[in-house]
Amino acid sequence: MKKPSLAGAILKWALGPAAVMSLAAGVGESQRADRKGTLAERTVSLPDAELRKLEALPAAALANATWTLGSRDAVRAMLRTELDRLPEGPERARVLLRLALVDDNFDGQAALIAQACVADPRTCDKPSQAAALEARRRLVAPGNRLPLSLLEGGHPPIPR
Amino acid sequence: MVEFSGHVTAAQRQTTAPGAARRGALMGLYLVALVAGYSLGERGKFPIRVFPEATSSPLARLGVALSTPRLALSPEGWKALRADVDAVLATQKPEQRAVLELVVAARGLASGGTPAWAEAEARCKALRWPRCDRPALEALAARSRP
Repeated sequence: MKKPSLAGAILKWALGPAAVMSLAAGVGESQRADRKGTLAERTVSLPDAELRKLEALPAAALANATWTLGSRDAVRAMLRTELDRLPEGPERARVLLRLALVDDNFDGQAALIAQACVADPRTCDKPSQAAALEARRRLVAPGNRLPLSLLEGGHPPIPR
Repeated sequence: MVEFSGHVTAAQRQTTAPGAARRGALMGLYLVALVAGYSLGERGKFPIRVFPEATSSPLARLGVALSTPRLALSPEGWKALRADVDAVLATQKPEQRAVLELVVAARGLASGGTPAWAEAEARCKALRWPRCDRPALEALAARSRP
């Protein structure tokens, strides 16, 4: 009978079982019991780009919460932080509209709405509708009503 | 090499036994490796990562929690989320930290998904925001979702 070589014996008795153990560990790893029902389990297979998007969500949540109930100063501070963070796009346009809603100066409102228009050209089509949506999302003054400059049909009739 | 023909004698059986025992031992070894590997892997105790995986940050996991309307997690999941919340809070500026604490309380992210309204109201009042009543805080919980 042919005697097995040392290399063959090592392969069969050491490397083979080690490889099987590693592969089984890999399968076990994918079924980790301590990850069941956790957010780590839900995010483990996401690509980096998706993870970066998720990392931006807490800041957006803070901005939304502040817009819902925050004082004027809190809103302004939060919106400035948001403007530093956000690139051109619909989200930046929304921030600019929110700033316009809490601005009590007509010229300031017009400038901010023009900037929102640049950030997201779709805002230009119906700025009053986009601003009205943001105003409805805010529960406290200022900012929860459309400014006169954005009211469609101009100033409401003054009762005599 | 011995050639077998007809019935196997006791002497012949003795010469084949070591080979069979070796095969059995080898199969046993592979089986133990399989079970031990799976078991260690499932518990996260295998010393090396066989398939390297991207690990999400606490900020990304909190992002998932904040964007999910009705979050359902295991008890371990809620415990892990609480640790994530603490990790993120530690990195926030004081004013943002206070707002995040309010959102976390209103959404119940550190209390197993049950909103902590009393804590949320106290945190809201500490911020000196115009409204801190329950309907307003419920609206904040719903509208804060990114």
